[in-house]
Amino acid sequence: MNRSEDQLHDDLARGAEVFDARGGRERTIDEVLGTARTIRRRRRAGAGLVAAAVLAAVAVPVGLAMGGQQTTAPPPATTTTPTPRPVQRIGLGDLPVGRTPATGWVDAGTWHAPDGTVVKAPARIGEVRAAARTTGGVVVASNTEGHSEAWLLHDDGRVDDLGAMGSLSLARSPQGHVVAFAGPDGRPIVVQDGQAPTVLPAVGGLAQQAVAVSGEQCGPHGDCVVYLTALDAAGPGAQNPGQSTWASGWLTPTAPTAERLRTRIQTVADVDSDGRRAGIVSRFQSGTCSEVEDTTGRKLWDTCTARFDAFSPDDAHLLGMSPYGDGLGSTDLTVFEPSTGAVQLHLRTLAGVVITQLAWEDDSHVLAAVIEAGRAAVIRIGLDGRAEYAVPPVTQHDDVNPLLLPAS
Amino acid sequence: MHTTMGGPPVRTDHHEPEAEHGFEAWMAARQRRLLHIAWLLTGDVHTAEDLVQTTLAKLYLAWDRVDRDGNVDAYARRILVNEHNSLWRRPWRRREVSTDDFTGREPSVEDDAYDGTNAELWRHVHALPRGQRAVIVLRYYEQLSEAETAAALGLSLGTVKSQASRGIATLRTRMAASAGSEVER
Repeated sequence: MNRSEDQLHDDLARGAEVFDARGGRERTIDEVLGTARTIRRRRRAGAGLVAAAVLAAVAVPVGLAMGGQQTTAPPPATTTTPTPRPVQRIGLGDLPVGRTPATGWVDAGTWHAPDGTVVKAPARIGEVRAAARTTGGVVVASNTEGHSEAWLLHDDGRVDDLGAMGSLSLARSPQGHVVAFAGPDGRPIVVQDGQAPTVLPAVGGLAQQAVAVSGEQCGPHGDCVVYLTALDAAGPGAQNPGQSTWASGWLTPTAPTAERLRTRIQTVADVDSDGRRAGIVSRFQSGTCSEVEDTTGRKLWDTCTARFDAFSPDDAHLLGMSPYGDGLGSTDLTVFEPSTGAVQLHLRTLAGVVITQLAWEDDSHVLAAVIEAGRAAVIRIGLDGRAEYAVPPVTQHDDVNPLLLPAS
Repeated sequence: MHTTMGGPPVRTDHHEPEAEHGFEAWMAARQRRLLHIAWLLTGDVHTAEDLVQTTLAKLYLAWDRVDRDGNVDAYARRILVNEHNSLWRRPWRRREVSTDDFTGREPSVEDDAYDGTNAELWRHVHALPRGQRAVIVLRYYEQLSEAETAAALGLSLGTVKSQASRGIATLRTRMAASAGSEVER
């Protein structure tokens, strides 16, 4: 450090001592252990409730497996691929290696398309933080020098800059013809079939992120609807901005419009093709409560044992993860029946294993990006509880998973 | 290596007395430092205390793994920063923070650690965007290397460099402007 940096350190150190002057105090070991017990109790309570529900619903995954759902999945890449193995916990153990993800995946900034094409993102893109497969390529959200930017990596190697983003969040239509995100000015932006982006009119608030897209065609004669979480009109500088959920897009045949949804959900996780919404309704010290609503905003069911991730492509299942978020990821995975909340599958991770991302690969398989002590992998988990590697373990550093799954 | 083929549950939140003693010793040695980092990040005494309490609790629950992996300080910093980011995303938390937030308030006379330039700098640090402020605190207060800062914040090395550079430049500009307005008065 040079002299001015030393001076800055000294000034910050003096500023830090103000904490003591203001009566700030250290917490006792008993206070810390008390908080730890609370967190532990909530985690265990959540797991216990889910486990009990699994017993009641055990016939569901079996029925799915026996009902031939497995046949809807693409065949294994090689005839030597061992059969996926039943697992009780998720970890980077001795799993068989199956086919690569049908959705494609990103490994340290390199896009691996489903057809085997590999596109390395140019260095100028920066750190890729989210991805969504679309026609002829993948839209990625990156953090470049502190700015969020969207890019389209074409399968033929071309790269298009789609412009600045308000948040590193991408939403994708079921078939992938439309990818949407929020612009830096809070307006929703849609990308149709890899073409130039279209900026929609502002909704009645500052759109923070696009969470779901229904319909495959955006335009005057299109049917696309983009669901957004937005700060109310008071904006982010307001003292108490509230969040609301909006639908924007071609709600009418000719012109784009926006509509505020009636919902108790603060942060929407996903919206299915029928308009059912799933998301967080309340937060507390070490967790969250979530609910599923119908299109009118009527609660269908709720839970404080999971946060929701996404509906399956056929809307028959809803994926959930740990209700608390300590920043590293999730330590369990739950699949719910969306209308009733019945648990169809629940798996916890082994000690030290964290799920950094979940995504549906197809109607009956979930992909989990997982890290454990210097290694990362993508594990394919069937609704029958069988697992295999979709991407075998690679080296990983500092709790950051180099493996990224496209939005499902 | 863990196995996923069943057997007895591997995950445990219980610690042997020796491990608990190790956590307590680490906490005794390092809590003050964590509190100071939390204070610099939040600017609010109670929020800083709560942040550190939650951080220590989560560290305790992960102690077996963290202690085994051998970089407790780095892990604790990462939990702290993640928790801070998580708090920032909660509307009800943002309201709480505002009650003791430096950004809207002059340093009080009883803050005897403040003196002229230092108080001014402190206000400007707190006016920095959250990401830049975290980089400045870890890089120049905690004196982490650029790589360590990048690891703690989950950023690329280039982002840390640019955020630090911008943060320093902003502080210089604002300090110069403050000095100018002081002279005019």
